[in-house]
Amino acid sequence: MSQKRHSHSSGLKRRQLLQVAGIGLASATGATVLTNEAKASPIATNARIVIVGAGAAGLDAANRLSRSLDGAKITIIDSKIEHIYQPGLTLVATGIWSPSKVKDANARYMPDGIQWIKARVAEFNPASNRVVTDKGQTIEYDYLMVTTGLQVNYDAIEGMSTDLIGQLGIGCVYDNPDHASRTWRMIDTFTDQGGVGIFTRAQGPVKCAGAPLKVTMLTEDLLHRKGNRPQAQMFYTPPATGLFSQPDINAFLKEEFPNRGIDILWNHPLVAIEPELKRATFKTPEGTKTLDYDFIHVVPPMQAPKALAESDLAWKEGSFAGGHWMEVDKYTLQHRRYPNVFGSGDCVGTPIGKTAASVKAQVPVATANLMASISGAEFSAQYNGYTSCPLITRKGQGILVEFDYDLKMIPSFPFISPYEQHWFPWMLKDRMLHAAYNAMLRGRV
Amino acid sequence: MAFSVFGILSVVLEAIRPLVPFLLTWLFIDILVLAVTLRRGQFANFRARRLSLRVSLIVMAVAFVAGPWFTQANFADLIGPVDWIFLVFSALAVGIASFVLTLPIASLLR
Repeated sequence: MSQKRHSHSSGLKRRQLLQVAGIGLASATGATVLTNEAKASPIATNARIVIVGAGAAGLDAANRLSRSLDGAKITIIDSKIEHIYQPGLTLVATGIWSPSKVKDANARYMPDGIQWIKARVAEFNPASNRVVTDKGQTIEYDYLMVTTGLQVNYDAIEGMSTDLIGQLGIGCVYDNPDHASRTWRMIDTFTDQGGVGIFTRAQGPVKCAGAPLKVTMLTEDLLHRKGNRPQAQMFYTPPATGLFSQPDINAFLKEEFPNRGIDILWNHPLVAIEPELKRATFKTPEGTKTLDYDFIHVVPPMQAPKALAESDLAWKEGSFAGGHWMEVDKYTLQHRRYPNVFGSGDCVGTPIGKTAASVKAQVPVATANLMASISGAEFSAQYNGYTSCPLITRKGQGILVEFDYDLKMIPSFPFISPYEQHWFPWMLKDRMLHAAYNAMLRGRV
Repeated sequence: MAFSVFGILSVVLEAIRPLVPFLLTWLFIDILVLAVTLRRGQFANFRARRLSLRVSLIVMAVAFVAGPWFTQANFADLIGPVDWIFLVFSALAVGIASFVLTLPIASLLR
């Protein structure tokens, strides 16, 4: 970072510092956005800000920063043209939504006045404040916002590849609508014919950790609706001894699954599949175990994208080092060793929160603290770990689960019990959350 | 997670975004008709209000009955007062909106 830019920042007037503090406080509480939009004038700066990744977090950050900063040179780097509404993939994979409903275009949400480099970052050099793209372009920055998302490691399951999704009874809801619609073909066949269905869950953090549970319950519901439930045996195979991080919901699911005839096979991480034989291998504490299946929902392990994982931005030790997640302070979302680097979304190593709802809570904090950093103000925004999962239990019903780092329930709508199944959370999932997500992409929620 | 008024309006705008061209066209026609009926002194007369009320009651009833279906669910999925209250208020909101949108045209017809 150039000295000139620092001196510019430190020269900000007290009024501007108060504006930044105000934005931070309001963003952290998630309230009074209207007031901010109406009253806070943009902060003058010539800082060069690079955002890596144009997913939900990247677009949200780009919109917020471009509105709140005057004179900043903002660059966003991502080769993806299409935008996928990933929270809708479980509904595509279970035949409730058509794939077209989750497809969108990044260009629709890209703010005016920023530079969009259509490339992929291949190298992070935080010591020299540079990133290098896969096309060989080097981009320097004063501030970096890392929002790369994550990478699904299909290779970590021996015998698994993305080509197999939609064939030989193999499904995987993650990554894109093509995978989800191919998964739907397999679930449709399974629920027509019955047989043995295995629903797996990878070890370590995964995006939308509720998705494997929802796919399981919606498949079970569909078997009922088709009148074929007696013809099917269902197994859910968590890698450890829990189903959900929030203890109340964990307890609910531990009752709900057996009540619906879904057998839970604890400590069963999937390690291999033999597609032609329709056989899965699990590494249990008692040794490897194989199970035959007619349908299997594969949830591979996930990690930070390669370029981030191999950079000095990744955690080097501790529980997040395994997935090479980005090392950030879990409250401020600032990098713990590189103070001009911030992160949000699936790529950051925080205890919980790889959901779109987490993005909604994280980005206002990360951007407010980045702006505070520009102006030399104290950080006032903190991420409390908020995450949310509309846990769909059957078509037409769900539970709206919202909790924080302490795993304490923090419902947005106090009149809706986070412990009971209702139509209202389903209605939100089916009709309103996509709209809320789009508003978030525009930095308006 | 708290919500601001601005945030809620943004979400509503995104939710109705596909309908915005239709609603704007309707509003434009409404404004034109409103100007004509005001000039003629026949805006919101008794017969127009009665016609608009009848239409909006029908729309409200349809919204109530079709609400769960609209979300690919059915009435059996509504559990407890929260679900029912939400459905009733949604239908009521649709009814009020249809009353407001149909009143100028009803004034012209009656």
